[in-house]
Amino acid sequence: MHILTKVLVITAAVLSVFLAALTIAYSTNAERIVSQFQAERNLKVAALGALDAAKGQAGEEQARLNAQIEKLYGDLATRTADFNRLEAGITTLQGEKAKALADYQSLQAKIAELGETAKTQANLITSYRDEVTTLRKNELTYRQQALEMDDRLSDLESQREVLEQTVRALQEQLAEARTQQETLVQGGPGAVSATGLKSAEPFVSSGPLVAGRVESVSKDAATGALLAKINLGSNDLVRENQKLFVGRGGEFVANVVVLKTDLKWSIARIDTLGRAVEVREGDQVLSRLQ
Amino acid sequence: MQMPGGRARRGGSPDVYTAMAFAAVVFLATACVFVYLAASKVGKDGNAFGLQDATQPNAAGISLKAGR
Repeated sequence: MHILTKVLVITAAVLSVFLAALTIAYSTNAERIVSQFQAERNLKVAALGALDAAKGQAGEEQARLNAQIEKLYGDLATRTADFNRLEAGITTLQGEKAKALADYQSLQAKIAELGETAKTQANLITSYRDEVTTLRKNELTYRQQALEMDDRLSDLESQREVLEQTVRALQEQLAEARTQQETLVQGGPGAVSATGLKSAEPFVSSGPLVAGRVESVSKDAATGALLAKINLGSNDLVRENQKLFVGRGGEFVANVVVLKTDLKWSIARIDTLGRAVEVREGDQVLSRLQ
Repeated sequence: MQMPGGRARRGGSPDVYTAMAFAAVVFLATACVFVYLAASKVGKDGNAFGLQDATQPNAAGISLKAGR
């Protein structure tokens, strides 16, 4: 056998071994790769199945989440509306708070002012109290003085009344004396002595003019004569049997003759002088005609 | 019979078997190359003689969890 043939045979044997090893490795790897590929494919199918299931679940979850999102959007809108409303309320309350603060400050100022006013008034009241105390003391003093003066006045009044009585008595005596003098001068019947008794004829007073009113008119049950009560008495220098004149509206009405006198009133007999006249309450009475 | 110590016989000349061996070597070489290239493609880390792992892929990690 040629050396070349031997070399070639050896080379062929080596290459065969090499080829066998490569073939073994290749077939092993190919078999493993195929099995892994198949497994991967199975995994892929399983994964796709799981993916479909997950997609279904995800769809349901998404629907649920969408519903929840819608609900949350609705809640958010409600909350937003509430928030806006509360913000508006806050703004309103802040305005009211500012207004209340302003009112508070105004009231504080007014309170301070009123406090000052109260202090001033307290001072005024104190001064008024002191003044009133002084006035009361003075009033007490004055009252005591007034009481003393009243006592003194009463004493003087008493003295005056006594003196008036004395004067009246003296005036009456003087009027009596004048009447007697006039009667004596006239010389008519019924004239009396100067020691003085009443004259039978009614007389007209020559003293000061005295005016009064008719208080009432009545009829004497005993004599049937008309009697008039007038508001003139002995204090007014009216005496019994004095003739007085009754007028109304400036016109003469009738004569009246005093029958009885008291200090402040008198009873007189009405003499109409035969005229159809009537004496009424309120008619004027004069001591003499003017 | 050829006795030892005699002169070596002269080798034969290439004949058809040589050509056939040569062709076999050529084809074997070509096959080795092709197989080597293919084995490199499927071999681990590009090594023609490297073997892939026999472990199967784990399907547990592939499970898709549904959303919360």
